[in-house]
Amino acid sequence: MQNTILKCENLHKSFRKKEILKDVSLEICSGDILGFIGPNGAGKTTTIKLILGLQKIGSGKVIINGFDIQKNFEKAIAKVGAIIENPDLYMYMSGYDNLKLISNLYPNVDEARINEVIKLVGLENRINDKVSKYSLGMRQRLGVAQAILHKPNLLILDEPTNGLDPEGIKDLRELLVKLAKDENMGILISSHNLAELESFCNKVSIIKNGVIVETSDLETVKKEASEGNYIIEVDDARKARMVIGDVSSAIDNTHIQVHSDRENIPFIVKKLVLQDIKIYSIKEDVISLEDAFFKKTGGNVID
Amino acid sequence: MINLIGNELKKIFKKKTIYILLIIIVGYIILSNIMIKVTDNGLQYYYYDESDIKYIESYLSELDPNNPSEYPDFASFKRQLETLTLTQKYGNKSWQAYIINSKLIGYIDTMIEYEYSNGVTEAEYNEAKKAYDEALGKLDSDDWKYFANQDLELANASIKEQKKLLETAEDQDTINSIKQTIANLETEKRVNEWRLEKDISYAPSFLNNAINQYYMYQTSLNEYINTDIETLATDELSYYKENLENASLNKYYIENNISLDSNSRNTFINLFANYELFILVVGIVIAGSIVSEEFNRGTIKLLLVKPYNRIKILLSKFIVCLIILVLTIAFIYAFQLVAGGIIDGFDGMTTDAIVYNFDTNKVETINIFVYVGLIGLCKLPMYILLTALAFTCGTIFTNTALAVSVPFLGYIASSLINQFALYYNIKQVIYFVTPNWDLSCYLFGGSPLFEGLTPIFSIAICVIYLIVMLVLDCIVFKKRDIKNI
Repeated sequence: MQNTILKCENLHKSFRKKEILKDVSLEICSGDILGFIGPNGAGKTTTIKLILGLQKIGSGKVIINGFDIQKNFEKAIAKVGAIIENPDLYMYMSGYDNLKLISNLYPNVDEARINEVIKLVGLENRINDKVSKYSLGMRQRLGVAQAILHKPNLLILDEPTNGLDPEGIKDLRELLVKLAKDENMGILISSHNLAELESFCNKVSIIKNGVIVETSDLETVKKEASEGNYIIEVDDARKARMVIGDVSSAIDNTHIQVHSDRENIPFIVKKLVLQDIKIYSIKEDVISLEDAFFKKTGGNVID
Repeated sequence: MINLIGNELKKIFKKKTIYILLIIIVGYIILSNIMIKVTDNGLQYYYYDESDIKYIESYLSELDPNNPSEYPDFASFKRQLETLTLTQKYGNKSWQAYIINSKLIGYIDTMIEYEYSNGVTEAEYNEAKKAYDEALGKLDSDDWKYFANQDLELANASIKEQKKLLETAEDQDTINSIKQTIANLETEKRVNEWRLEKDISYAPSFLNNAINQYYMYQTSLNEYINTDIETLATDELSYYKENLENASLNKYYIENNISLDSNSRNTFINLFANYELFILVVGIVIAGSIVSEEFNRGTIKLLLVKPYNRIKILLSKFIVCLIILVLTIAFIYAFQLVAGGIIDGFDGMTTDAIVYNFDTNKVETINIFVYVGLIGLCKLPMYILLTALAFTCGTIFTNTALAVSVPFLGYIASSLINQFALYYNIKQVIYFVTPNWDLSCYLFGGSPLFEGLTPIFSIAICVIYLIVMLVLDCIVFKKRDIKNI
């Protein structure tokens, strides 16, 4: 069963006449992991701050679990967990004290739950050390722990992989997938590290200069970006291009790229064979999320 | 909201700041109690150095008493040498030291004069010598009452003389002048009667000091003997009241034989005058950092995404500041009591505080613990307003350094503002906080700094300023966009 947890409708935000966000809409259902990607300065963190009520919304609406964040803040935010920018914790306290402090602010978070979460993020051995002695990676883990302490159904993570080692990133990925699956959490995760998101997000939103340029399932984005691109390895690329015509382009002396429908490929092959051009291989050009992303955004100009 | 308050308290008590401040306060209180104890009661006595005598002796040997131009210097040094030598003989804390340096100076001057001038007969010299020797003999036989009796007789004789003059005096100015002289003589007489009656010698002691103080303040009061008090201007009235208060209090000590010479008691009774700065340091440092620090460290985001609206978060922080303020006052109150008691003894604590009530015009006693608590309660508006100022600066500017320094500057400037307004007679200042935030001026019928101020008015002004600051805080905090940190 999927139900909408977070709905952002046409968010606008200006700062001194400069529009930072234009018409940003997002939707997250339970069990979704939405990758929120975009280059620096595109408006990712601002969007997250509007969702969490940390900044005033210019126009538009944020609805969390049916409550408007502007009109009913306390109820809307009650089942949200978040890390914004860095995991800012009280450095002069131990990890456990930090969690204890957070737990006091929610009903129904007991010692057992705290210990459970500590185990979940793998901080059992260092939890009684002061946070100032933690590495950035450990602080990230503690940040995740404080965010999920009260069993939220919406988890918002701003650049959570910052400072994590590959092992940590793998752990975090597994944890998030588990939370989405088992607890039916909706997760919004922003990152530039696109390769990280690719492997476990089921949806992406791409933001560029304050505008959402694409929202869809991950597979669709990739497919669209790569649709009809084939790379053919031949003995003479120049000759092959003359045979095929405008739809092709030479990559180097022995490779050409062909933009064409799938159904058309056998005919192209036939043409080439008839002209005595040798074909060594044909492969569909499946691009990574990163390539898809650059294709969509075409780079970001910070203005 | 209780949860928020509990959390804020935990954050403060997990930080080192408060403990460092407490250690400094504890150290200061202990040190100042020890210092007061070792510096000997603060009672006055004659201080001199051994080298002074040698210096004077060497100087004297170079002067020629027979040379008229050098004689004045010679006489002056000779007198100093004589008094110093005598003081040294009896010790500078003896009753004799006081007599030597006051009454005996006259005898000594006469002796020097007679010794070195030619026109003095043997008989005259012998008579002076006899009087001087008699006085010296009284010093030796420890008979201080001799001098008191002498003064008393003199005063009585003078009073009789003046009263005769009064009968024949005709114009009002002369009558007034004589009346004042008689009043001063009566004071002199009373002081000496007390000495004899209560057995209070001239040696440095609390009661001896009380007698001297009484004499000083009562003589000042005597200046108003011919004046209608009702017609006095504000500043003159406050001067009159100050004299009246001190004269009455010292009279009370003497008549009831009360020696308030316990150092720990004095420190405790002046608790807020002595340790006010420490109360403010803790209050202001905590209030100035409680909001701004969260902004500077970025932890404000953590707090603001919790299911509490911002007003609740802000107000619970302010409540915590007030709790810390009250705890600090309680801590200092209790610690001075204990530390002072251990260092200097708890004896003084059994004597009530003695105050002069201007409403009833009587000296009243009040339990010492209640008295100090009452003073604290009266000063609380000032502490709360300065704490609130730190809190406001911290919330609006999110800058801890600014938030801590502004209230201190305000505190330092507050008395200056009052003085300035008094000097230039700026009446509007009564709508400002500085003349209103210390209610202790109203205690025991006391009068405020400016005319027209009443306790209710002062409390109202303080409450209005507090509410304005808090409303401002709430608006700013509520509307603030949390920028990238």
